[in-house]
Amino acid sequence: MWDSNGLVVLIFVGCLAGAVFGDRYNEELTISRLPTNALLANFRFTIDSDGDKLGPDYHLFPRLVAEMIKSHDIAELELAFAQGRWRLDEWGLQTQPAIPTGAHLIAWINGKNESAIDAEWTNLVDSLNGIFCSSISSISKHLTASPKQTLKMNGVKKENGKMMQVRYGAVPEESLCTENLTPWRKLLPCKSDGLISLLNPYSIYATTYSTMGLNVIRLCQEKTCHWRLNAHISVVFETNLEALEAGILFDTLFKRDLAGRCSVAESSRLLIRKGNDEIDFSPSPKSIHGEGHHSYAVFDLNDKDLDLRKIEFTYKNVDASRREPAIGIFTVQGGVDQQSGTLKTRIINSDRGSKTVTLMHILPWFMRIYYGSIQMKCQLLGGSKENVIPAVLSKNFKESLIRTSPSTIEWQFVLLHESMCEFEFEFDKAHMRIWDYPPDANHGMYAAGALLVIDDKEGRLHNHRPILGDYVNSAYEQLVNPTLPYPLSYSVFSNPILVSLPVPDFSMPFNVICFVLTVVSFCISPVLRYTTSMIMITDGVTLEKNRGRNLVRVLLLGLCGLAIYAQVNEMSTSDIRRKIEELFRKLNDMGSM
Amino acid sequence: MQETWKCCGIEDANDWERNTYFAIASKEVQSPEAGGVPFSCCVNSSETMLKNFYCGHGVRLKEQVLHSTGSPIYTEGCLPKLQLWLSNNVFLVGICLVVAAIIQFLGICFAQNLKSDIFAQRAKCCLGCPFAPEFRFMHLDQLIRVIYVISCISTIGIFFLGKPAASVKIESLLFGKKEKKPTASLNELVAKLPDASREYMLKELPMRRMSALVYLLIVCSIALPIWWITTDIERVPFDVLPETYTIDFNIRVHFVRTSDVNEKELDSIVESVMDRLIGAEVVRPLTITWTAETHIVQSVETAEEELWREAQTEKEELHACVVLVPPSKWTLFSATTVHLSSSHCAFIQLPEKDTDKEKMLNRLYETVWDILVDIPHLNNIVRRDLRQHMQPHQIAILPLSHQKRLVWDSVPLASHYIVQIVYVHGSPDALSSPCSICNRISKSLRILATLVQSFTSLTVSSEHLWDYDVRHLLEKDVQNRWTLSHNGMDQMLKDVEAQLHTVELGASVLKLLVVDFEDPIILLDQDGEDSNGVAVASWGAILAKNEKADSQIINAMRMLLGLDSDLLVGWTREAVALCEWEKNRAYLRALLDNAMRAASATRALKKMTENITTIAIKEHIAAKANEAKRLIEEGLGDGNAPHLNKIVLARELADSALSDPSLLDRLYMPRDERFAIYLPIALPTLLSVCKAAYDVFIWILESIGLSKNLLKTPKLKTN
Repeated sequence: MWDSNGLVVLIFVGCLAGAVFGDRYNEELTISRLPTNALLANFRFTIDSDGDKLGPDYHLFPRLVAEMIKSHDIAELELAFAQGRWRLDEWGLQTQPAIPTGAHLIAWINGKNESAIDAEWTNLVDSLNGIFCSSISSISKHLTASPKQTLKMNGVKKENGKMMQVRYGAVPEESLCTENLTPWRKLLPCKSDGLISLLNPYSIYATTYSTMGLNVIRLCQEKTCHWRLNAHISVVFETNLEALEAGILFDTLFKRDLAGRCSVAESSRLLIRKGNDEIDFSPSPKSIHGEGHHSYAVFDLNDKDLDLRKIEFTYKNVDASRREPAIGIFTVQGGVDQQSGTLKTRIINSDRGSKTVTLMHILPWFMRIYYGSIQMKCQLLGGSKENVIPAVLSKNFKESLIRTSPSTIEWQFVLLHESMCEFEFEFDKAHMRIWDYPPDANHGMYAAGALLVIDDKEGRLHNHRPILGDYVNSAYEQLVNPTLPYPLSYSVFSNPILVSLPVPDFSMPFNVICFVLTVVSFCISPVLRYTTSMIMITDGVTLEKNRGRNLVRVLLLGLCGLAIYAQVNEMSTSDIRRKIEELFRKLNDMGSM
Repeated sequence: MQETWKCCGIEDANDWERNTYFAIASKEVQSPEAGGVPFSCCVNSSETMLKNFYCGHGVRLKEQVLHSTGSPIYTEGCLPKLQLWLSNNVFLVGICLVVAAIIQFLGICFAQNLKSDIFAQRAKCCLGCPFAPEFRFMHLDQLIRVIYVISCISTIGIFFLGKPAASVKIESLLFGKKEKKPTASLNELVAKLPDASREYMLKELPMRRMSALVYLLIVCSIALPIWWITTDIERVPFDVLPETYTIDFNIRVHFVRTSDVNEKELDSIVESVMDRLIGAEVVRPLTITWTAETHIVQSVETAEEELWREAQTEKEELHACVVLVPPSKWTLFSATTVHLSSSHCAFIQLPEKDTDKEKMLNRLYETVWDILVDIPHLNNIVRRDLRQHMQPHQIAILPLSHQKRLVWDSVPLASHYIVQIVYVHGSPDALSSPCSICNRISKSLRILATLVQSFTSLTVSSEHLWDYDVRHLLEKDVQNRWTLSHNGMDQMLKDVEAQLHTVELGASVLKLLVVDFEDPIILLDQDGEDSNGVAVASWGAILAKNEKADSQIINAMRMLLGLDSDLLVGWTREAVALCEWEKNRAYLRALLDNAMRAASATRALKKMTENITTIAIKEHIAAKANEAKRLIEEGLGDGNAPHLNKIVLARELADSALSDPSLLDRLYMPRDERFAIYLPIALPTLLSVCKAAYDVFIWILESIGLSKNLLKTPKLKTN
């Protein structure tokens, strides 16, 4: 009963705020216990623009993002970084949509034609690279793919008569740190008050897994459309049962207290997933929403009566039943030599329902795939280990271009219930030019992991998610409004792989040229002497002093002197060339006079 | 070794005892070689056709063998022999050692090269390296140089050693040999040659000469071009404006009178004012040609209308306009002597008494010189661009108003500004009141943008900082008002700068901070007095949010764009955002500023190519520089109707050429080309080239009959 009243009040407040500012700002922190007793904290900050038109007077929506949307004609954008690896087998599904290790960038761009879109994409990558102090510019150089069927828009395209295409790029070796967080933080209206005050870089980057992301979508309700910026951060804190039972405060997780309230936030909520655990909350939440796996204690942080420093939750009785991970995916590399190898992606479905999945793997150009060798073997799990033939619905390949673009593989197939499929192919390692190698080339080169998009129309994976919420609806909205659709598809990424390539001795060519030339030049004078001069019988008589020979010696002495002079003065051959040229020019001038 | 040097063992033949096979003790195991020496020790082993491999077996068992003269094996040890050989061949050994040393030294050079590359890379990636790379590099570099000089000196030494006389001297010094070979000139030697060998040499000579020629050709046709190409730095020539180039502006001064003013009187005024204008100082390369034009209008009120109606066709020209008004027609307060209208003209009140005429002339001159055209500002722009620093005494003698504006005048006018209005909300309560002034501020700034579009473009956007805590910067004064001091503003600028995002475009950004707080805030100037706001040159301004914020922000923008002028007592200006004459003045300023910057950018490019030998000028850079030069000349024209858009384009081109990364394409070349690497390659080659060239030269002389072939002359003689 209270819920509906609260909602009405909230909506009323929201309308009031909307009348003043137009833009709306909501913040939400969801904390959930993962099966290994680690704690997942997911921050979600959303800024909704007033209308379809952005700027030039900005209230809450960040000016920079609006300028980016306008100047690159973006329909939808996602940039996300992840440090560490999400353990699918232990922690279950990732917060949706999933983020691969490293960084990835997805953009739907409007443009006149494909080359215009490509140009905008290059500009966008460079500009995001600069804004977020990251090193993702290699995307625009040789890692850009435009997959046909795997990626779907979350929002709505603006009908402006232009063609729209998606561009995707992933950099697995990208790391996430404070310098990326600082520009991200500047996008939000409140920079020091509200939930953002918990983002203490010392504690969030000391964890095993953290992500940071930015998502811009355009949403429409009936005929009115607006832009939304989702800024999100997820952190997994490694805790144990004792720590959980000792009680968790913000200070224990973030080493910082919640400071103040963001005055422009329409709502500011803390959601703690209760699930089947028994948790003591202090102060007790006004309400607990949902049931079963997805039941949450909800705290309204804008409530002035709530003492933000004193929020504490203590696990009394942890639900120890471990759920089998529904979906598993990992990629391994085979092969013993530096010339070629095989790549195997194993996909496991332990769920009782068959699923239509799309596997997308984008591989850099230096892995040259034998398309003929691509094969998929499936077998049922359980006792029988019976081989089954997978039903492949569609295939899409795009071959790589050397030094220009990666190869794209997209396979849509039916993943049978309780089965395991192995997607496998062979590849050759390309010979690279010396400038293609990154610094520290002996380490090897990274290739991004595969993306698996699972259609889940039956909602069987719903209870495998650690938390609710996606880019369109927040966790709270999904919780209080069960009629909102659950996501129909889930994405998971496999691990990135490290490909070791044959590495040349980088100093070789230079040294070899110099050595060979030196030896040649030393050989030349004896050879010349033997070919151009003659032997004369002298009968023990030596030649008397010769002026010519002395001249040569003086010349030599002069050259040596010149060399020492040049070396001491740090002159280069181009200086000498220039002097010779000047001399000629002077001679010319004199001649013309 | 034992065979050639006729020796056995190290000290003597008994040294072979140390070898297990040749030891006498091996007799116990029935070794046939026991007590023997290898066959290479046998005296005759190298002379006989068939080698007796058994000759050395058991030799050392016979005691007397080792000491008798007729021994079948060599009894001397090899070490003394080796020492003797080394001292006999000191020259050869020396050369070998030096060659080895040079090769090793080259190795060090390459390593050094690589090392310096690594340092360069590291210096690029991390500025905060724990040690200064330059410092270490210097030491190693000096060391290398010392080694290099030593090796050069030793090379020279070897050549002196190689000189027969010297080497003989040294040999005789070392070994005490004192034999002197008889010497003879080449002619004598040739004369002594037997006929057969002379014939052979004559037949062979052309072949030898040919091979010298071929060698010369190879070097000239392959090696030289390769050297030329690899060390070539692309330098496409381009033109710059000469140092003597002047920027000429023709400014027409319109003097307007009504029929109440005597024509003669006007003429005398015009003459004296024009004399002063022409005589006043204008900093080169700026030159200004003043022309006067007099007009007569029906009435003062409609003077401007009338004037501009007739001058419609000449609107493009640079001009200034003064209307001389007799006191009887003066509509304003009589204390006001000069009134600047919102249109083009300045109205000047004529004096009633003749004694005040001198004052009036002064005012008239100042109106044109300081306000309508503002030559001091133009001079400042030129000085700034020529990097002419003003000495303290020069600043001291400036009028007070000019001193104050010196800093503002030196700010270059950009062709595009991004104006960000930032509302700093200091307290949560500030949110609840709707921001009506915000809309007015944005609106008035956009109107300003349309007004200034003839000389610059403004992009106006506004944003908010919602949770910046202003309270800790504010102080309560004695009247219990919240005040923001200079130090507080300083802190605020830094904090706001850290919280704001960058812009995507590369243009000049002006940030206008509007501080919003629950209570009114008073901004203080540096003396602690109340002020409307503070403008920070080329950064922006800080204002308090109040009802007059929109007009204050326009004032701040006028200051930031350098549109403001300091008026003396008795001068008034129409209260509008931007007057026509201010627009014209800013247009003239923009013309000069951009033309100067474009010219000096291309000149800087030229200077760079002269002073830095490794700067490359690619085709497109030269094209940009040439285009910039052409556009400046075209844009300035004859000074009557200059085109700002052409000059702005020229400046953009020149700037982009000057900051193009392709200029530095060959910056790392000199390290690779250092003499230490090229010299060992070039020196022997060069010597051989000289020898070959000399041979070919002699051959040519011989064939054209200028020189006599030594081989032929004596032959003729004997015949």
